[in-house]
Amino acid sequence: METNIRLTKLADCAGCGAKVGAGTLATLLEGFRTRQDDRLLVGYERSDDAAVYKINEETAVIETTDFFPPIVDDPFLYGQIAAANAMSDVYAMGGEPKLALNIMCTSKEMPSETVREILRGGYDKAYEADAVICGGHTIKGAEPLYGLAVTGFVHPDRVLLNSGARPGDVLILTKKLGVGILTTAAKADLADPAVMTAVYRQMATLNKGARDAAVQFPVNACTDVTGFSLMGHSCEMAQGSGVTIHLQTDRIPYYKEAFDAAAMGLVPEGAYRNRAFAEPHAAYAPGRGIPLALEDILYDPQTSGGLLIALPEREGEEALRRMKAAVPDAEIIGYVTEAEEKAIILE
Amino acid sequence: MEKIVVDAMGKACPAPVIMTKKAIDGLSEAAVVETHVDNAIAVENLKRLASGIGAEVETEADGESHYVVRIKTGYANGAASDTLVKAPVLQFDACGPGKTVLQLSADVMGAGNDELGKALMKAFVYAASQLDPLPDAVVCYNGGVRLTIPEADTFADLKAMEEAGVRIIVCGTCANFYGLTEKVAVGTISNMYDILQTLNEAGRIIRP
Repeated sequence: METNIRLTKLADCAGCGAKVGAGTLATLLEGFRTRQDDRLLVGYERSDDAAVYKINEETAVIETTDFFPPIVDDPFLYGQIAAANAMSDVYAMGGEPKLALNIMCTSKEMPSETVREILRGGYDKAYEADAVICGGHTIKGAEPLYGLAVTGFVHPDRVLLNSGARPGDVLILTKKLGVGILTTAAKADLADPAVMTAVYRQMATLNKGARDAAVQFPVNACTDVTGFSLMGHSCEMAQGSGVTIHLQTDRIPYYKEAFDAAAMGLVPEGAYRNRAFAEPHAAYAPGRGIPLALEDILYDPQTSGGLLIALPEREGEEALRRMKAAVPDAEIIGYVTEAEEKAIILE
Repeated sequence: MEKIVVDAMGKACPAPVIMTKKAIDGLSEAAVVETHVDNAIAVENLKRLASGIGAEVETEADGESHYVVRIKTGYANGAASDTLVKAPVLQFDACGPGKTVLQLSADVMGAGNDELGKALMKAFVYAASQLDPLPDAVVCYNGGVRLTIPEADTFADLKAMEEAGVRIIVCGTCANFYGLTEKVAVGTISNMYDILQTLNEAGRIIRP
């Protein structure tokens, strides 16, 4: 579809880069009265991907929502990416999305055809995920926004927490990093359109394939890598699990073009926020130095990023092999040890 | 030297980087590009831009909402050119007291047997890292860039020298030629102008 408006120019921040920092959120929510409920298996204080509520011995419900300003000019693609990103938290908990509600804000510059295309993208991904969009809410505002509130289901004994990693595990990452840096470069018209096509395709890819492969193995921990970057989410996993995560930086999949863009200074603000949060918890392995541009990629906020999965080393290769059939960029990127002085060691 | 001022006050990333890069790309001779920004993140990104094209950079903060970043470009057309097009005439007065520069142009020391040459180079770099005082700079070019990747047995000693304040300059063209640009993990990737200027400023050049 041809349209003259550039959606990304209507937004201040791109994608998950618009996320408010974890520290800010904690301060905002401090001191509120909340009810205790034993059936709430995963709540806010767990810093996990979504809330999980046990209905009975067979079924737990997963609740999550995610929305953001346009990350790409093509409205259909934007809708697909926002929907894939919103449903990702359900997959990260080991579940399957079933119901979804549209959350949308339209600005006055947007023609109705553009709005329709965004929604079509969302419905397209929900269909692919075997989920039903059954309603929603749309308002007018200064900046466009789109996303979903998603309900999913999982067996209460098979919830994948981000805090269960154990010494002896290996870590699998299922998508390439560098998405935030490259969308920043694209905003400045400094990214190769062919590369961006691949980046957008990756962002629109559901984490369903990775999740479906993962649940066939004894996974100890799982999360999706989004706004807090690989470093931020690894840090949460390590601290929540009481272990240290060793990242083998030469095995981490990322877009080579993101390295060049970072070296040119096209690093989004969120990456600096993530660095401020996670860097104090990280150390280099002895004698190891890492190029600054690669570090920037590790701190880069990802929109609709891949799953980060911890499972016993003996299962690692077979899980990776099966995962690669659905997500070819998946790689083993590190391993878990007993807690050391720092939560993350960069090797 | 010509000075160009870029006013990027009130601009969010990536605009300050783009405006500065355009100014650098438009240069026909060495110049200082001075960018004014109002946030620390833009400063960090401009430092990356300068380092990426092998230019010198200095920053100045005037309170919390005004920063000045000066990028000194040494050659024509910024990153577009990696050659000696506009390099200044070199003056050879190496007799006076000057800096000590280590020149590493291969990953082996001496000619004859490369296995021996590699072992000698490892010992040479180790010994250099123990010198007192340490050399001021190390320039690595051609096969010498292989010494700067983490797998190299010279890596730890070079890293230690860098941490002790030794300036390590890695030839960008060479790293690119060997496909090592993303693996160089010590020193600054730079250009021929920088290498020549460093050698030119040297009072003493040590070659293995």
